[in-house]
Amino acid sequence: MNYASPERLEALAAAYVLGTLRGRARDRFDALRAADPLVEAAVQRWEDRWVARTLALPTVAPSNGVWQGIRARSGIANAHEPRPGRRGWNSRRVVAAAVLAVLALAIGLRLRNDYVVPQVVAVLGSDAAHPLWQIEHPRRYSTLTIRVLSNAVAPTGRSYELWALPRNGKPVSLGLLPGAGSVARELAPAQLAALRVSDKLAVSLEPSGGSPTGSPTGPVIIVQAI
Amino acid sequence: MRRSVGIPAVACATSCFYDLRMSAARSVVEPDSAELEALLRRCAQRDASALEALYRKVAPILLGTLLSMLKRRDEAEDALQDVFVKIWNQANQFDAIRGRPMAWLIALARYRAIDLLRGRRTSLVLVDTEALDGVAAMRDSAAGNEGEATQADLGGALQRCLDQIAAAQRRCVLLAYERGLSHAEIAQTVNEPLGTVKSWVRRSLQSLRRCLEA
Repeated sequence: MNYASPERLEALAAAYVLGTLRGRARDRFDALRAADPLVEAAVQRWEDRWVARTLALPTVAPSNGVWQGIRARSGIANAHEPRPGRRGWNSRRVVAAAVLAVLALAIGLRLRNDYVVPQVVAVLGSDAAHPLWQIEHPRRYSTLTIRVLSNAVAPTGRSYELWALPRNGKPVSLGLLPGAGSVARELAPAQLAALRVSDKLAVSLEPSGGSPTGSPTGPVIIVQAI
Repeated sequence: MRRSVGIPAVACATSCFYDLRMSAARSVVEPDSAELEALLRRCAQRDASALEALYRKVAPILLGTLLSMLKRRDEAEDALQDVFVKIWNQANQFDAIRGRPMAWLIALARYRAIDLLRGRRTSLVLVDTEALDGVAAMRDSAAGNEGEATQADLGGALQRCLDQIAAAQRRCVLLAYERGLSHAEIAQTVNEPLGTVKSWVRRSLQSLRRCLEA
């Protein structure tokens, strides 16, 4: 696109911000914005000039479900009811949770010398301070026990699903995670085999009843080393 | 999570009119820039509580803009979700040096709406626009003449410079900025030739810039 003259650049930036620059011309200008700081600066000046007009439009309160949708889609839906002021997860907390889980596993192995059941495989949570599920899987047995450590109800119409992540290969479902109490289930041979070669577990948010495809379809909200 | 667009234009002309009128609140003062910047920085560090705080502060402003452009509440709320998911994923791209966070947030919302409008049928936009013009007229007449009173405490310079543009030409520019209309849609709405509308808009923007930089 020719914007050799400052006037031409100004006119294009003005039309871009106004919204009258459309179609392929708009796409090309988008690319220029990303590539050229002068173009970006001209766009920002126009965005700035118009702010007051947007603030003068009537504000509209969003419906109740909108925020829940954003939480689910951003992968931060770690509980049904957000507690005010509650912090979300961040990488430091995830690492801390992972370290805790590994320690728990190591201590378990050492103290129990590998044959006492049950054995904690992982503690899953949004962060170390908010564990949601404890996963137990005694070696040489095919049982998987899931204990809910704090309220973990999925948004209406959705379910949390647990996955084994084999080192080579696709995630294998280990079933739905309960919202309260605990469940013990017998793993199928394929699930057992997948779990034995996995070094991580994951939790995804799926349609009610679980993924329709057999692979995670919704946002993955937790990945945890085991 | 997009919903399909299936409501006939006429039904929307009524329901959107209703939506705007029933839920519209008064215009707002700009949220504090330093506070918004701090929230965006925390979002970049994956602090979900910062996204929620940002949502509480700016979602009603952004939804006002989105509804004004998209007309349909379900689409506007879907777009609002798109915008906040994008804020969460791209908060680290906001560079405080470059300017006001509110300008960046508004731009994210408006550009999302413009993208969505691209694939839309013209007739839907035009029918809805008439209904919305009615809402705007009600708002303006309630507040005084031609929006002056609603603007008095906000962006005095912008409004003063807009007021220097002839009314018919100013209307074209505002149909683009506030309703997201294309040149062709504006031409149909104001019943002027396309070439006239294009040159009105171009010259209005030039004069706006000269006035604001003076």
